[in-house]
Amino acid sequence: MEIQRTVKEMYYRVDPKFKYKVLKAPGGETFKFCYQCGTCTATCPVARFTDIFRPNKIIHLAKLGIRNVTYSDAVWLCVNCYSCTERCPQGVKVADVMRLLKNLAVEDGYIPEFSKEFMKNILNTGFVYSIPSSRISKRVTLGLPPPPQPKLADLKKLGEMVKISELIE
Amino acid sequence: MVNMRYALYLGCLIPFREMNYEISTRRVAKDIGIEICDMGDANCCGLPIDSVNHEMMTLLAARNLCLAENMELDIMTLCNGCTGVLMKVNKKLKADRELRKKVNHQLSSIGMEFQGKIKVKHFAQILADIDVDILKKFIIKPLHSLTIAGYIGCHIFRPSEFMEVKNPENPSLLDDLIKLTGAKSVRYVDEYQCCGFVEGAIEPQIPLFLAREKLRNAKKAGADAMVTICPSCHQVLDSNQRRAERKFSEIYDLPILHYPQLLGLAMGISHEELGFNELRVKPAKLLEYLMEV
Repeated sequence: MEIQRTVKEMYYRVDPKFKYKVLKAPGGETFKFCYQCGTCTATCPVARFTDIFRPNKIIHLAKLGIRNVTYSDAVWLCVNCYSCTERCPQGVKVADVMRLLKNLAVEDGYIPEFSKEFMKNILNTGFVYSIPSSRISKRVTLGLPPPPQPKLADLKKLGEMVKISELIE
Repeated sequence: MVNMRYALYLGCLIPFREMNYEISTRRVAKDIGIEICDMGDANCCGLPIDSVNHEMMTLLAARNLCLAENMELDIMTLCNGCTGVLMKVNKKLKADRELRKKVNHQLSSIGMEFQGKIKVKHFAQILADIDVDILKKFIIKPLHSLTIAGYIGCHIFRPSEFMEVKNPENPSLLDDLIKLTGAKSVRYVDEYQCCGFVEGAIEPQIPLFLAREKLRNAKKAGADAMVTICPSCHQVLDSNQRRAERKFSEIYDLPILHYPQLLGLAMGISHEELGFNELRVKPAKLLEYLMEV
């Protein structure tokens, strides 16, 4: 994880309107209430074991319009456990803001390989993992009913509705 | 016997990687009188791609909700993540007319419509809502000699805004369920902290650190075993336990059970029928101990 490089790159371009974009999108409405107390970082299970992920810093940078913050690996380290949302004294839905920042990064074409793969798997099999046939035969030996089999045509159509293929190509 | 019917939503992890959870749930539910109907057409709940596209996540979840509406049954989930997503989307769609209109327009392309007729509940929540006195009648082999550390996970009680939890800093759901089996439930440091399963895809070391904390603290508190109600937590604590032991040169050897397995033991069901053989950390000592008592 080349965080040093990413931080340097962050300062190259400032987009003063970025915060309005975040505020308008669903999940980002509470973002402006952050007053940098750092409760989110203190309660974050990930922040304990890495120096890269600091939710309050990410919110601060996003507020300043340093849009490149969303392009770094940092936002993707959020595990979505909602501890921060639960404890924020200002009622900022921190986990939702992180999710939104990831969504905005994907719109700009910054999508990690694993997310791409998840999306492709869902469209191709209906499940988030590709499933080896040995697991399906194991279900039979254990006496379990056949696994769910989603209609893939349905999923494809839903994907077309939100133009998902443009995001993962 | 209680008379209940639910549509069972399995998700992605349980039917292929955590089959013992499914086996034990089906077995226990049968004895209690909860009838399970399979959702043959269910897809991923949408949580893993929430970070890619929020709209797509909503659509995937809404499709599952519609399937259950067509079956005219409430959904029973086994995974915390699925519970969180399905419950949240269900509530948002029920409350927000604009959103529902938009989603229904998109769903019409696959001939579905969200009507808002059903509820979503985790198996643990279903059990907690049944009268304790009724459930106690099923406990024929109370596990008085066991000390259990419960690990509840995240999405079943956070964010509390959606999850209907009275005390989000101290949810008693799993605690009460463990006490129901007769076992002693211990508290330990960090018991409500995330397992970090999702992190496995981007920074695989972090779940190991998080697993280590929980395993050590639970052991220190004197637990004979840990109990989870989510396949992701189980993956981190059970399947990753050996890896964590190697990384930190420590030995935990702490069996991680799914809650229905513990309940099944207390109901006098044999461990073979509850899928104990499928556990990575073998609970042989635990079972021996139970035989002796």
